[in-house]
Amino acid sequence: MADADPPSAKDHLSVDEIRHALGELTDAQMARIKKSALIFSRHPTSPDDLIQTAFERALAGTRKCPRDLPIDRFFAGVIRSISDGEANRIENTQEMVPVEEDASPESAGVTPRDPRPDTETRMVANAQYKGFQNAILDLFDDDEEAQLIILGIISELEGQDLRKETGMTQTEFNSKRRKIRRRVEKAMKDGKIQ
Amino acid sequence: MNTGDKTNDRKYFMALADIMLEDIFESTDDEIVREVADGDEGLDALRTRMNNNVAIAEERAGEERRRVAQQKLEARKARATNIVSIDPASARRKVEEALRRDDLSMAARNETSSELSDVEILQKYRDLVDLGVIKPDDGGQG
Repeated sequence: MADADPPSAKDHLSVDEIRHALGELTDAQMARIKKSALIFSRHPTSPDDLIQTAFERALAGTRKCPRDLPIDRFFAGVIRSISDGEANRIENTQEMVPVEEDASPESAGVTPRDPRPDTETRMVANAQYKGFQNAILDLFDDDEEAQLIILGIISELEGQDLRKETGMTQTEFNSKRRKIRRRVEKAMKDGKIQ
Repeated sequence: MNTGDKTNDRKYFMALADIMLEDIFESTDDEIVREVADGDEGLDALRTRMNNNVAIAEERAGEERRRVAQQKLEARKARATNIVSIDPASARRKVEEALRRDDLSMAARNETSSELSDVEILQKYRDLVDLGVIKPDDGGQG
């Protein structure tokens, strides 16, 4: 009986429906998913890592797609969330790690392998974000308007405030935004701007 | 050290990526497909890569589902082991003993009177075992 269905069954796609949708992805949907992964990937996490993890979570039923959301939009959101979560995990790793986590006699004197990223990995990750800002500005050495948009974002402007700050019309802004996106995509390799 | 906060640098990175994401989804299907077709990878390679990603994800998701199912099964087995030997009369006695002993609500006490069926009293027994009020190993002397 429909009334007895749990809300998630009515409001979200089932795992079988996700599987079916993945088998029926259009070229445009694939392209959008790929491009989303490209712009959210950060070394050492590759775009394919992000895509596989997003698909895996949907197929395992741990991320649920609302019925009214296009499937490519859903996966772009999951990819964004995974990227942010992975960065959070790296940034919030504590400096000091326990040497002994297991008090059993067998483990005496043995340092368990810590699954968390080491200091060097965290430093590299932090530097990457700062390096990303510099690298993306360098990419647009020939385009002051694009740099203005990027600096506006770094100044925490968004939406119409960002557009107004640049002095561009909506059409000009959209065109410049596309130029930024395409150039960044071309420059991205292995989660870094080359 | 652990701040728990998103660093500014990552916040800017996410904001820049969000601006680009908006453009990806405001592009038409034709525009976005043409970009891939004209790019280094091409459409055929994109389809192959995406199919591979689905296959790998399907395999990993299957392992995850099996792991979760196994955990549920083990939890159910453990629970069944705890209650396997109880008969309704003993369960009723242990429930009432436990409720006399513990500071439970009046409503909970009233529910355990003789109007509860055998099925209901067994359920109550299981609930109290799960809550740790009754320890089956010591004959209900929790």
